[in-house]
Amino acid sequence: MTAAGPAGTAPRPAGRRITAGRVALLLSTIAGSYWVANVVTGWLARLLVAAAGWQNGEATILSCLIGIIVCAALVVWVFAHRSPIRACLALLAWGAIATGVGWVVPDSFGLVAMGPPA
Amino acid sequence: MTGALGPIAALVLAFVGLALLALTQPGQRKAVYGRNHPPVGAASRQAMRLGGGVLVGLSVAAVLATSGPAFGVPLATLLLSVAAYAVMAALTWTPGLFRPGRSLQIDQLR
Amino acid sequence: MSGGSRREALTWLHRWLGLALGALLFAIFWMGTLAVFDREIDRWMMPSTRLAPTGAPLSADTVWQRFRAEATGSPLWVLTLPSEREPVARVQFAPVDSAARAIRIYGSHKGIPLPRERLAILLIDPANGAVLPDPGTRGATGFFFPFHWHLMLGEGSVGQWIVGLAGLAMLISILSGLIVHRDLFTQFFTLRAAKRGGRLTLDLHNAAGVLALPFHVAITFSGLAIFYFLYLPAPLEHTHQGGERQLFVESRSGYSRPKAGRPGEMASLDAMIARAETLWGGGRAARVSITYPGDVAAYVQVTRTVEDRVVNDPRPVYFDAASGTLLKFAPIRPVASAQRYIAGLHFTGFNHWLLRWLYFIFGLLGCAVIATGGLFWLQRQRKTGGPSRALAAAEAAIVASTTGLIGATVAYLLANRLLPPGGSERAEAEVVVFGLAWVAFAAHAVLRGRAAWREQCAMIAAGGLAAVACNAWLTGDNLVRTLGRGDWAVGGTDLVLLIGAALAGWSALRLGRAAPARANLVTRASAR
Repeated sequence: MTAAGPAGTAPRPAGRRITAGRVALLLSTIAGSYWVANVVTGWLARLLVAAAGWQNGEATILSCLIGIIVCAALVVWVFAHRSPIRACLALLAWGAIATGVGWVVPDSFGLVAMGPPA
Repeated sequence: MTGALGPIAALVLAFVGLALLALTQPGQRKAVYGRNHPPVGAASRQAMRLGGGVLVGLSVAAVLATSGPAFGVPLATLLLSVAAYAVMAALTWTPGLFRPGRSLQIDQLR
Repeated sequence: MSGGSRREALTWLHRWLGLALGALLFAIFWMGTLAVFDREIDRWMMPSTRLAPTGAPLSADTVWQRFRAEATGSPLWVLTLPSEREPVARVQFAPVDSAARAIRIYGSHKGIPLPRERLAILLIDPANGAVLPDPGTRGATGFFFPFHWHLMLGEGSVGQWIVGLAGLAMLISILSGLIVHRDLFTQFFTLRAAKRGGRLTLDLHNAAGVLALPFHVAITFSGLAIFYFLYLPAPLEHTHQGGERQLFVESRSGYSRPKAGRPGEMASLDAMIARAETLWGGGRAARVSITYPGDVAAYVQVTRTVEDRVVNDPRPVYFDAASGTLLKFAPIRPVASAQRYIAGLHFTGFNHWLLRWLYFIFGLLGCAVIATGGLFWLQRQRKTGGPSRALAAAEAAIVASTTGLIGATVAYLLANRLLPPGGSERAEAEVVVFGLAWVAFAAHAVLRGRAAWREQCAMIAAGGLAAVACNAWLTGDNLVRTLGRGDWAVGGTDLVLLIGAALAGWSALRLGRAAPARANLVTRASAR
């Protein structure tokens, strides 16, 4: 039993059953959240260093602590979303784009975070 | 022994404060006073909430004052939780504690 | 979209994360709770270390002279000075034929290139500097604690990542659980003790969870925050080209220089300790570490105790080993200090006894949250689905991972008392007993079905009493003697064992009373 969304949205997992699709959604969501949390953490650290003049270690530590919360919050956000499947795909896309651009344009602070070291 | 004064005072203050807050809730009032007792009025409820909040605040302050901020923050937080469990236990098993004028009764009919 | 579907999705998330990782989380919380008192349990498990604190401080120079020859060639030599919680001194280094000798310190990108847990441990009696005989046990510091943070698989191992994933799942479960909790505030103090089955279990789950919420959030977040650099490596790649090592050197006041490869002398360690204590403006030294002992480029790190504060910052001071010259003493920066405060909230390195006991009790409440969550699911399944083989398997798994784990722990303590004296093989044998006992409890759960709960509670009760009795009989330290001499480490462990045994026994009795009625229901249901 799934709760169908309004026209155009994918149904969210309702009911008590565990299915292959839902397990895939859960694993993808955790992976996507972790990926985006790393991206956001990297952005924040580089922003703090480059724009706010923070010392490297201070920026790294604060960004990582925020990143832990972001990771957990993103997983909850996906499942609280109208359409968890779309939210999950959006996360994965965000991670992929940020990482991809980071590899092409390595030292663009504040825009990309994952790629070869500066 | 003097080191224990702060936490003990904090526990007592928090217990009374949280009990006041609990007794503004209809479900808890029913457990303590029975179904037919009239509900608390809006003004009383506000006063109880304010009083409860102030006592909880004083509880935290007592710990911070005697233990300093570094130890005080985790200690005050945990003691608040302990007091909350004590209130829950009292409401569950000895609700008579909150009825003025009555002796302690172990209530098993909830 | 309606709130109902969001609640269902988040409930699904909460339930299945909890069920998938509940066993692992229970183990992590259980071992972590025990680790709060790991040094006290060590005294119980290592009777030769039940020493009264001596007045005179131990001379580091005397200890170093004793080990100078053996330790030359080891990348590290560490002396942990005795403290209130650990009245013996520990000496650690890599013995001649060990793999740890080959580990490179300088040039490694790892934050801690050679973790202390990879070094051999020798215990020193601080009264006379004598090496105590091998206690033949890992104790609690060598088993419960490493089990807690890397499942005995080593620092930086996949075990540490699994624990991290479990911690993340706990955070997610807490968040999702809070959102789906109906009537969070109106039922804040509610415990319907007269109810049975799922209703009471859910109330207990909520009570153990919500009223202790600040603790559960803080302990879970702080645990992940300790290894921020490992779990979220992205910024490190860009801010620190030298990796974790550079981060540690800059933000944790670390120091590093290469080995020279030529022999060198050692200046007075006691003088370095005294100098460090002056620099700190108070507070005693906790540990002395020599990197490349015996080499001319060797350097000494003296760290301060953290027992009088929450911030887990040991304020390291570095000296040149040959001359005793001060090399580095850098204050920690604000954000790094905040991270050390958060880490300190998790490590409980402080000697604040009320706070430690509260952590112990709330850690057990964390175990209760996880266990009652699983139990609630089980009871709901039984009610809606009726008995089945899958359900029986699930029940056996939950029993094995809760009472089974506790039983295995009691077996570990019993083995510690009962195994014949020995060295490292004895220590490994204790761990084997733990593992075999856990397997046995799991098998018992499979074979006995629902009766396993009360039977395992009864076994835990008996085991706990036996452990206290064995301690009293074999070491002569009964409760009267230990508490009489103010030994709260050993006496406290015995007391907790007795209280735990009493609780387990009471649980077995209560479960026994309820069992005949339930057994009839089951036979009637399966007979249909």
